Amino acid sequence: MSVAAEEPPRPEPTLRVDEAPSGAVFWVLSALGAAIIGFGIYGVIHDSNLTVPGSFIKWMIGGLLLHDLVLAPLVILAGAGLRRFLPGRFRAPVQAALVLAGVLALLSVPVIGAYGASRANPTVIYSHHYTRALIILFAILLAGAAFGVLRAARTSTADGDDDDEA
Amino acid sequence: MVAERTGGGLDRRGFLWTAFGGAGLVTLVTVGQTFRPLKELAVLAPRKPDFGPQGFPVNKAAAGAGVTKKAMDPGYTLTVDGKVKNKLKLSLAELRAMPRHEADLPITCVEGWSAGARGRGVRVKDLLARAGAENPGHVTVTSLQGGGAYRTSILNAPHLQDDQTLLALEVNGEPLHIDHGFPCRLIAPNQPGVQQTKWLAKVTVDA
Repeated sequence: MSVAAEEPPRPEPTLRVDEAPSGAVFWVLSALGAAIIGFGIYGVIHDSNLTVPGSFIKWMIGGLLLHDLVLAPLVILAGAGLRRFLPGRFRAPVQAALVLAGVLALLSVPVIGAYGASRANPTVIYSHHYTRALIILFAILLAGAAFGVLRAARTSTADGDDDDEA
Repeated sequence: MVAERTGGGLDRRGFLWTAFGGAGLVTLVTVGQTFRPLKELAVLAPRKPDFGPQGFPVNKAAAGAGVTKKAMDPGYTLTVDGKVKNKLKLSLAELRAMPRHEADLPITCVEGWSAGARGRGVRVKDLLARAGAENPGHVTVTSLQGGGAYRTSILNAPHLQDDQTLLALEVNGEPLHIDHGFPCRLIAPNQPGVQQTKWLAKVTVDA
């Protein structure tokens, strides 16, 4: 960020209209994909006694909404907030760790809430899933911080040679 | 110099790798629920493929399905009816007296876990022959359960002729555990687990 003052601002990359997908392969694959989706929707409706469309939709749409309205904004907010507090070399590992932790936190919701667990059926949530989820989340964040430290240490020893991505 | 534009944060490549890693991590901590070699890694999966009575998990327990009393009733009988010459009402002892066969088949639950189990019991085709059903093409099996989407399941001709389509009385060398469908459950190849109907009460030849 500090370098930016010495350089003219870069133009932001913009989506060019002429890069919109086209061509035979695109359309054939699109048609194939649409046919497969159509077959799936037909199955959901045709065998509605087995698929229970209401709960099917809840899971399909609910998952997308959870991702788009909860997980993604939280991760983006956390990432943006971290830009202010974290030194540059720490940012990437910590952001990556937060993305992974967010995904796993979402995955852990059912087992942390122990949904479906019952005294009658001890084979569901058969162990201390709550503790497991917390340990994994903690380990991911710790790994992110450790990578940040390693990266920062590497940068300070190889001073001025930080454009290793070139 | 990509790092500069992102202020040291994730660049596009880093973000893609992170997304890839996230998908991989989710797979890693759950896939063991169905892929046994990775079962010890399935730490966030609700079930483990070898954890449960007789070595595999239970989707719905007898108590949850409300069938315990009927299933444990010493007067239990299995009815074979519909388009048959002789209607049958077989006690558990009569079922056990019939020739028993084995089938090594998976229970693949729609909830995401699967586990192999060695079932042993009466071939459905033997039972239907005994009842005098001629070339049955459509058979409904019904559970002792009072309701629910999986109270019944349907067997068509290919299943009915298959030597591995069993009314299992035992699994993994023991009489069925009540939560696995005692006294008798369906075990057939190429079926989702929910159609391996448990606590069977009736076998009806529809056509």
